[in-house]
Amino acid sequence: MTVKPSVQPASTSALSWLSYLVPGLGQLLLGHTLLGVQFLATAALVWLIAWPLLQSGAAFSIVLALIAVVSLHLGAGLTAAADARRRLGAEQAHAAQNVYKRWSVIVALAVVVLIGGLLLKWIVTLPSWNEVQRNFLFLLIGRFRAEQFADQLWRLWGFAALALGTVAAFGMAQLKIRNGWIPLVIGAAVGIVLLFPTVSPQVSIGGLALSLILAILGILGAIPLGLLFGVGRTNTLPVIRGISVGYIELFRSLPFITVIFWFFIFVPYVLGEGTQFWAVVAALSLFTGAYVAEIVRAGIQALPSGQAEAARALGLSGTQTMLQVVLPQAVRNMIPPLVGQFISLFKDTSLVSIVGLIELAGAGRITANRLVTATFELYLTVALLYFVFAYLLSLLARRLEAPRAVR
Amino acid sequence: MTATNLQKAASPSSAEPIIKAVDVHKNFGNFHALRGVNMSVQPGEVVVIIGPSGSGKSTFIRTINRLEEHDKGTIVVDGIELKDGQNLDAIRREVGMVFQSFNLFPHLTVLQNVALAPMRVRKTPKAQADKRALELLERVGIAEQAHKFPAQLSGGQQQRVAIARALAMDPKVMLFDEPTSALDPEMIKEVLDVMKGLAGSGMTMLVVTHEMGFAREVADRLVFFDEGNIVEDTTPDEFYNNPQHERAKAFLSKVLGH
Repeated sequence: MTVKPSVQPASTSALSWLSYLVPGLGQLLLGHTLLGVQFLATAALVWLIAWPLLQSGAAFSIVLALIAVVSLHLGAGLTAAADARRRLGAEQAHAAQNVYKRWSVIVALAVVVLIGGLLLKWIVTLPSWNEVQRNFLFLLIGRFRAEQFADQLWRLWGFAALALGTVAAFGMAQLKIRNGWIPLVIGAAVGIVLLFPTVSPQVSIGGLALSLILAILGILGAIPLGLLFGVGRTNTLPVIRGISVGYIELFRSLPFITVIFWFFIFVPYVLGEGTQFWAVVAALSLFTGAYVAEIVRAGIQALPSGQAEAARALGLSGTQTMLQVVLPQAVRNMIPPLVGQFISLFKDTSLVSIVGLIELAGAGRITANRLVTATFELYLTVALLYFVFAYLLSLLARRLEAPRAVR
Repeated sequence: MTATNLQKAASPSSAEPIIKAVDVHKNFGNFHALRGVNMSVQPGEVVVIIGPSGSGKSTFIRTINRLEEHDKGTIVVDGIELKDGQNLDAIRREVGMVFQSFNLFPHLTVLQNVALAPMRVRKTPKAQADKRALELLERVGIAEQAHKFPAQLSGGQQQRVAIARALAMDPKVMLFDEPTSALDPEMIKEVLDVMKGLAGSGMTMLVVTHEMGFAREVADRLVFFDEGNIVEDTTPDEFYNNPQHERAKAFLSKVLGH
């Protein structure tokens, strides 16, 4: 096609642009009568169905109507694009498609806003939010809000210390300042010291606070366990490897709920009363530790064998090779799956309510059972709280990876 | 499987050999990789090992610092026999190794790569280890790259860092396992030049390579491996001009043919 560009009159070109913006009308104006009528007829039909559905206000009908509108738009756009390629040639068709793509984004956004808005409106107008508001403190800290603990409330500043340490560490990582682990360790230490009496010897705290404490202690226990048995699994000595494999396979093959039950009954039986909380922490740590061990092993085995060989050839001992050469590189590969595992651990804490620890999910259920009327609102709040903290963890981990990826 | 030239090679001088391998066997599952290798190397000798792939040449030099354990036979390095229960780290300190794929530590700078083993193994103070590392980097011609990471260097530069890293432990023997095979042609020379300098300084070297020019220029001896054994052990010139064994002739015609 080597025709002069002036073959296409400007007005026709403008009309063809229009045909992508308003499928049907533009086609008609361009003289593609049949195509135009088809589009307009389809549009009319769809709107005929969609309009009453939208009017009815029922969520299901609204979604149906929106699906119909979106499919009309997609169908018209794709047909128009194919038509453009035939009539205008590839280059102009490409430009037209770009217009169409932008238009699609606007429509998609509109749909999301519409559905989201309707959903939000429905959620906000649920009748029992005042009940959630009244019980919100219970969801956050459980029985710790009771008067008998009033003189202990200051201990909650421990969470501030934890948050501060974490934010400082990640801020430093962001700014590429070294030794970010120092504020992290200080924050964690202060936090643990302040919060420790709320769970030991008696668990007085509950709700989200207890979930977070369980998750933090579980992670702190799972990391050394995972490192130990993950490295152990790569050991050449059959005894060490066997023990590691045994531990990993055992805990990976058991449902978490049975592990909690078993520890909750067995540990106090052996170590005496008052150890229930630590039994649960041990169950969390050992269960997650098995998965962490597999992540550690995968991280180590993903390294080229030449790395360990070079270190050994230089005379480094097995331990030095692991600590100086293998682990520093493996840890970098381990961070994304580790974060996933820790998010999983945080969510798994919701299962400990079956042995009487009233953490977030337990607090939600107790409140819902007591009030009866506010079930949906309460569980929505609980889900939102879990989401916020799990997503925060994910977000922080992404920050942790970012500066390393530059190198 | 006769090794005609073995006797000649085994007793060339009166000095105690620094490496002595007698009847070394190695199996990988069903594959008999080394089939009774005998070799002794005098201090200061430069031995080039060639042979077709799979002939056991890399496996053999890897047994010398025990990256591979031999199944049968004896290997004595610098008076220490390699066997189970031996202090391997002591031997590995005496034997430096350079790999085909460099195997630099990517999470450490060039300087840290070179200074790591002296600091951790010999407990050299950091300042002293860094100073020595810089000297070695100077010697291989890349002192100005000391604070970069390996990934920022060219292949030739990385391999020269790897040589400096091995030298940092002051080894008595240096093993080279195809040190130029992974390099672009224009980078091979810079690595070979460093190796020539090293040979000139009197280092005992075992070099697995296909660089014929290097062998002729630097090697005292040339050893030809085939099917897990040494089939020729002679001088480079003798090997090129007058190969004895049929397999050596076939190999040479292929290698020199292009």
